[in-house]
Amino acid sequence: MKEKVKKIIAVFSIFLPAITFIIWADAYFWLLKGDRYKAFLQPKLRPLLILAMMLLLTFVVASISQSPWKKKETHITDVWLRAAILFVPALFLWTVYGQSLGTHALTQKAFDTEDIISLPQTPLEHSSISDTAVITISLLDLCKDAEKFEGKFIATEGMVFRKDTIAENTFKIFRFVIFCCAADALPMWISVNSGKSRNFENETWVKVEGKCKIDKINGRQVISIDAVAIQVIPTPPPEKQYLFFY
Amino acid sequence: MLLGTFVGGFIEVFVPQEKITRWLPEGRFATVFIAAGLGIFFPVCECAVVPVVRRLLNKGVPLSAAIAFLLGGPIVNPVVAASTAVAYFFDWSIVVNRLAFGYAIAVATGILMDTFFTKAQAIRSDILVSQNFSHHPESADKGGSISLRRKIGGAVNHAANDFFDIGRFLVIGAFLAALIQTMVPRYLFSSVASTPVSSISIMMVLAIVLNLCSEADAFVAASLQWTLVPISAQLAFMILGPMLDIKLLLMYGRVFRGRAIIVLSSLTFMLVFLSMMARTFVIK
Repeated sequence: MKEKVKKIIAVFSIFLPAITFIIWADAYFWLLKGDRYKAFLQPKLRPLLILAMMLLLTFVVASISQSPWKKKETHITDVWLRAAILFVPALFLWTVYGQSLGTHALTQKAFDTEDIISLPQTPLEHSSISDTAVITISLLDLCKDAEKFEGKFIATEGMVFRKDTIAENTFKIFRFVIFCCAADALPMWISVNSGKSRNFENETWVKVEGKCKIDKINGRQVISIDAVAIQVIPTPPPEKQYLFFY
Repeated sequence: MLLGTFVGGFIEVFVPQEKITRWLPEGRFATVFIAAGLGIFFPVCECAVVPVVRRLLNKGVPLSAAIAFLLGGPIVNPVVAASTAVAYFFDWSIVVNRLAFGYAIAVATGILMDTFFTKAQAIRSDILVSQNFSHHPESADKGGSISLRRKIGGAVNHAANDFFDIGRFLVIGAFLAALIQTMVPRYLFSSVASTPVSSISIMMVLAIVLNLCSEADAFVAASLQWTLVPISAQLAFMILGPMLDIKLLLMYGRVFRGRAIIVLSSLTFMLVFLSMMARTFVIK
């Protein structure tokens, strides 16, 4: 009986690399389906994902049709260990989908938390936007071209970040911007001066409308909005939560 | 890395050793100078270059040239130049500094490694064994007439085996980097970067633990432009990262022997540190 089990494991081990490649190819297919990869990766990498999936499929064919001399080379335990480790990223993808970087990542990834924790609290100028055109802009474009929007009425979206140490009428909105993948995601944030106490929970998605301001603090440009309207919005689907450089 | 293993597989099957020997220029170090700049024509990231270098070593490429390509390829290439330029708002001095120092350090490390080690001392025995006695029926060094179809099949076989062999180190390295990114806040690094020595050293440690791709790390470095971290420290981060990080250390284990990895890592670290310190004082 023991011998039989050993034999089955040995036979199964021969096909373990092929099974691993199938799992990986399936993971790529799963990412491509419904643009799920945008929850992890820069959209321009789509052709590379398709290429990777095709390469993995050729690996599957090659592994199945591989000559017997190669299959005897590696120890069974080693083959299982390699397969187990390579299975982890696929498992990770399927379990982590739906979650995105939030306030914890913001505080971990920011190089200068001084700016996050204690931005200046400027008194709110009561303004009206009823007769003013509001420019809807992403947080990335706002941070890139802040001067262009200084003094104008803008609307932008992001997640709320509040620290207990700052005034109740001030909070930050932030989003993560990706160049290649979530590993290189950088937080972009601006300050929101809401005029009155607003107790938004951290990571609540909001749309803020108001007047764009730029202050110089310690030689750095600090962007803020004097808000006239703050609206809680539904959390976007995972593939729309990140912004992308180019 | 998938692409890297694929290219490696095709080198194994389609490029015979004598052809590579014929292509290499004469003179001990001429090859090193060319190899360090090969990324301009074959842009590769640091994960893809490891399986390619493994196959090149197997094909008789000298140790010095292989190391120069291993370290220089992921930096001295057009994709990295473009991403660095974009991240630094087309400040070309940063791009030139990154590529020039990356090239020089790759050349110097290749030459020094060749001085300290013979190929047999530096490379894992299984790679040298397969170089001396290629038991792969489709290998380009086996001679004889093999059909193109069988050759392509053989190349894909090699690629699949390499991926199955080295891929796990990429996964483990990525896991460790993710753990560090989650546990250690980045501001701890930038907040203690007050002197050139501390800022350069700290940014180098950050490059090792963050494991970022050479095509994306410039954006993280550029986010430090408005902090106290000097340009030399930002460059140290962008130059060392593609040469040495946790995942690469693990992947180097499939190519080099332990002692060679220690010397290679120490040399790379020291050369990046010294060159960036020198840059700091020269620019000042």
